[in-house]
Amino acid sequence: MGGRSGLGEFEQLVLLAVVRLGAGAFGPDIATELEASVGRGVTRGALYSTLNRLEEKALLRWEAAGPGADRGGHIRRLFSVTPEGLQALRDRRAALLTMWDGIEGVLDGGSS
Amino acid sequence: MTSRSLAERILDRALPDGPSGHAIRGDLRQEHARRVRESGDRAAARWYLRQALSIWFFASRDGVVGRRWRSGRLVSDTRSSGGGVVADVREGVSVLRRAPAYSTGVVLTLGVAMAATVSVFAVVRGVLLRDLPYPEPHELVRFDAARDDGGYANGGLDYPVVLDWREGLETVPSVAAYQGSDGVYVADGVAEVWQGTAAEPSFLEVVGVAPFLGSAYGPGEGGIGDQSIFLSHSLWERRFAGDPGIVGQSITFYEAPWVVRGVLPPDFAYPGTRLDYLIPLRDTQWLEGRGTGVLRVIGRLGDGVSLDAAREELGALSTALEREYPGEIRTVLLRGVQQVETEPVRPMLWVFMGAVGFFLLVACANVSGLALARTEARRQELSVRLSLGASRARLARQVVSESATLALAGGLVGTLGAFWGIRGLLTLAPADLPLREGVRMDPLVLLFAFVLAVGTGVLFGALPGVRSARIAGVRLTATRSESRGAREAKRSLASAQIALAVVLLSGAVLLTRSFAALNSVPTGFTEPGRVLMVEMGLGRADYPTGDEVLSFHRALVEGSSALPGVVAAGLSTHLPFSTSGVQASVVRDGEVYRRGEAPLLGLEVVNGEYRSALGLPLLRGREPAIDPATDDPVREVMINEAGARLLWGDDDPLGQRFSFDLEAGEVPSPESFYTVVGLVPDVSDGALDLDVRPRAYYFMPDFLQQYSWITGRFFYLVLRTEGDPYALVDPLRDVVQRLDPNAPLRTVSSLEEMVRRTTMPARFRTVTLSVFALLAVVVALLGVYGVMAYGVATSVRDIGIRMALGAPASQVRRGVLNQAIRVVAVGGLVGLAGATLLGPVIRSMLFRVSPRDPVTFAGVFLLAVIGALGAAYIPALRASRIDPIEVLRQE
Repeated sequence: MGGRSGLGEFEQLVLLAVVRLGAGAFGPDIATELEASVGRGVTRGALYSTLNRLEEKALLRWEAAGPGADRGGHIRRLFSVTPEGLQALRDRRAALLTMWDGIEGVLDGGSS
Repeated sequence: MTSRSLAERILDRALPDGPSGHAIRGDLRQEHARRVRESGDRAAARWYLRQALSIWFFASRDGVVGRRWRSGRLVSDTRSSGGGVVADVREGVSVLRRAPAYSTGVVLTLGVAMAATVSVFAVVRGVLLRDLPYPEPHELVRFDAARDDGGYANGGLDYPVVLDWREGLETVPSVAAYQGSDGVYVADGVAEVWQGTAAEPSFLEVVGVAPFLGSAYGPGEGGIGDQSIFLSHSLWERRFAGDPGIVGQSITFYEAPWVVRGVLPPDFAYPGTRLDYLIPLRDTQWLEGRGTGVLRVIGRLGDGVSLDAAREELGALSTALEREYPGEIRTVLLRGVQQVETEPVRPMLWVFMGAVGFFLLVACANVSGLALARTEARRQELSVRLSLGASRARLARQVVSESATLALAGGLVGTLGAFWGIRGLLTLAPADLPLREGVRMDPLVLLFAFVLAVGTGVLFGALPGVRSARIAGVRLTATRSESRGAREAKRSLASAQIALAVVLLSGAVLLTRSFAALNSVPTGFTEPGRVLMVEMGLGRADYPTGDEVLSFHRALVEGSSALPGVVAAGLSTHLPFSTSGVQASVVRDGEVYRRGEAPLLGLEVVNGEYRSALGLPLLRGREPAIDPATDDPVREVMINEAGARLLWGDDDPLGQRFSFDLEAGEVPSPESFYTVVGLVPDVSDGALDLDVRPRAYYFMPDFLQQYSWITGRFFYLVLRTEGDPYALVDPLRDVVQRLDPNAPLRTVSSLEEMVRRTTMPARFRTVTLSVFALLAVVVALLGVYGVMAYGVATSVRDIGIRMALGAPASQVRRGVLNQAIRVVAVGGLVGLAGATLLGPVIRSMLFRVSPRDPVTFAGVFLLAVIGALGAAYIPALRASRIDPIEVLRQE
C-alpha cells in the first residue's frame, strides 16, 4: 500500500473536497461539500482539526483573503492541495483500486 | 447567559489567537448568519454552541487549548503537556504512576473511608429515604392509642371507635382496622403455623394493593367472621406449588374450612415483615366493647388533605366522642405510616451517617497532609514549570486534578468495598430493621459515591493546591528543607484528625459503657441459659372447654417432666421477657372501682412448676394451693415486688386482698377477691432498660373456672434442664406429637437467647460506632506519626547541628515527643469540646451513662496522649540517633 504519510479516511475526504472545489475553497464550502458527499453532518471541530493536521503534514496550504460579508471583519483562509497532497491522494487511489480489482461483481450486488 | 455568548467564551479559550483562529471564527459567523436566515435565531444559536464545543473538544485533544496570543506573540501557554480537564487527569495519572507508594497509600485510606460512608448511606437510603412500596405512600396514616388509660390496655384501639371515625372523619375517608393473627393449617397430617393479619375488607384498598390472583372484596363481602382467606405469594408458591386453581378451593385452617379468595402480590408484607395470609376480622367478643384496645388502624388521607388538618379533625371528633362516652375514649396519635415505621431507627442511622462523615474527614485530613508533603518535595519541579509559562492557577489546578484522580480511584475501591460493608451492616442489624429489603447498591447510591469521590478530591487537594501555587519559585533557606508554613499546616491537619477521632472515640466509649450497663442488669431469672421456652396453641374444636385444656396441660407437663435432663416444667399465658400480655385494673380491699384511677396490674396465668422452671425464687410465702377436698376455687396469687409496691407500698403484701374485672362504680363482691400468698422478685419485661411491670401470677385451673376470656389454649411451655435446652426440642416434639398431632410447636427459644435478642439494637449501635471510631483513631495516629516522621526527616541538618553543639540525645527525643503531645493536646481538647456539644445527640441511646460523662472524656484524652506518644516514639528515636558528624561532613 502506498503513501508516505498515512491518510486517514476523513483526511482523504477533506482533501478530495478541496480538490473538487478548486480555487477558493474555504471552511464553510468544504463543510457543505463534505456533508453533501458523506450524507451526514460534519462537526466543525473535526473539520478544522483535520485541516490543521493536513497543513502540518504539508498536504494542504492556505492563503489569507479579505473578509467578505457576515464575517465580522475576520479574514478567510482559502485552501488548496499541495503537490504532495495530490500524490498522497493518487497513492491512496491506487491502493484502493488494487483491492477492488476483481470484486466489482460482489459490490454490484452479487455474492462472493 | 445566552447560547451565543457562551459559545463565544468557549471559542475564546479554544481558538488560537493568530490568523487561523480569526479565520475559523469568521467561518462560523458566516455560517451562523446563513442559518439564522434559513432556520431562525434559536436553531442557529444552538448550532453555533454545538460547533464551539466540538472545536474546544478537538483542540483539547490536540493540545492546542490554553495558548494565549497577543499581537502575534505567544504571551502565555498554560498547556504544560496539554490543556483542559481531560488532559489534566491524564497527566495526573502519569505523575501518580511515578509515585506508587504515595498513590497506593492515599487510595487505600480514602477507599476504606469511602467504603464505610457509602455503606452507611446505602442503609440510610434504603430505610429512611425510600418511599414505602405503595401508591402515594405519604397519604397512608396510622392511628395509635397513647398508653394512659384504664381497662384492658395494650396500646391498641377499639372497634366502635373505628366505626365512629368511618362515619365522622372527612379528612381520612378510608380507614381499615386490623390485628395480628396466627393459626394452624393442617393438611396430610402435617400441622403448620401461619402468621398473618385479620383485617376489615377495605384493608387492601387503603394500602393501595390489588390481589395478584382473585379479586378484592366487594360491598358486603369480607365482613366479620367471613371465612375467606388470601394467601401470600410466597406461601402460595411454597405450599400450593403456585397453582392458580387454588383460588375458590377450600382449605382447612383454624380447624375450619376456609375458601381461598385469592393470592396477594409478591413481597407484600404490611404490616411487619412476615405475612402468610389475610383474613377478615374474627371474634366479635373482643370487638364489641369499648376499652378493649385490640385493633390497629390505618387510613388514607383524602386528596390534598394535610396531616395537620386530619389531626385537627380527629381531635375535635375525639372531644365530641369523649362527651358521649366519658372515660372510654383514648388519646390517639395520628402519624404517617412511613414515619412510624422508621421512627425507632431514625436517630441511630443519622448518628451513623454523622460518624462516618467524621471518619471520612479524618481520612481527608490525613491524605491532605500526605499531599502537602509531596507538594513540598516537588518544589523544584513546580518552579521550573512556573518559569516555562505555567500560571500559578494552572499549577494549583494540576495538583487538585491529581488529588481528584486519586479520590476517584479511592471512590472506586470504596464502592467495591461497600458491597461487603452493606452486607456486614445488614448482618449486624437487628432482624426487625424496617425496610431492610430496600437496602442495596442502587443508582442513587452510586451517584452519591461518585459525588463523594469528586468532593473528597477537591477537599483534600485544596490545601496542597494553594500551597503549590504559593511555593513555586520561592527558594528555601539553607538550613531547612521544610518551610515553617508547611510544618504548621501539617501539624494543624494532624490536630484536626485527632479532634475528629476523639469525638468519635468518646461516642463509642459512651455507647460501650452503656451496653455493659445494660448487660449487667439482672434479669430476675437464675441461669436463663438452661431454660427452654416453647410457644404452643390448641385448636378450639378439639378443646372446647377448660377441662380438655387442663387435661392436655397436665399430660404435657407430665410428659415433658419425664424427658431426660428436665428439672422442672410449667406453663404460662404470658411470655417472660416480652411486652405481650394483659393488664387489668384492680381494686384493693375496701375501695370502689373508678375507671381511669385504678392501678394496673399485669396478669399472668400459670400452671405446673412454672416458678421453678423459670428460676423465679420465692422471696416470701408460698405458691397457691389447690384444695383437693373441694371444687371451690382457691383464689390465691403470687405477686412481684413491683406489684406489691404499687398496691401496698412498704406494707407486707402477704395476706392482702384485691379484686379486678369490674364495672365502673361497682363495689366488688366478696367472692371476687384474691389473696396474696407469695412474693417473687421482679422479672424484666421485654427490654432490660425498661421499668418492670407490676404483675400477679394466677393459678390456671382456678382461673379457667371463672373467666372465659383466657382460655388456656395459647400458652408457653417452660422447661428447665440440666444441659443444653435446645437438645430437648426433638424429644419434646415426639411427646407433643403423641398427645396431639395437630398441636405443633410454634416458636422455640432459650430464655438466654430471648434476653440477647432484646439487646441487639444496642449491640448494633455500639459495634458499628466503635468500628468507625477505631478506624478513625488508627488513621489519625498514623497522621501524627507521619507529621513527626516527616518533620524529623526534613530537619536532619538542624538536629545534627544542635547535637554537634552539645544537645544530648535525650533532649532531642523529648523535643519530638513534646511536639507530638502538643499536636494531640490541641486536637484532643478541641475534640472534647466537640464531644461535649454533640453528646446530647446520643442521649436517647445511652443507659445509665451521661452523654457528658467526665470519666469517659478524661479516659479518651489520656488514650489520645498515650497513642500520640506511641506514634511519635519511632521518629523521636530516629531523631536521637542522628549522627552529628555525618551531618557536618555533608555540609
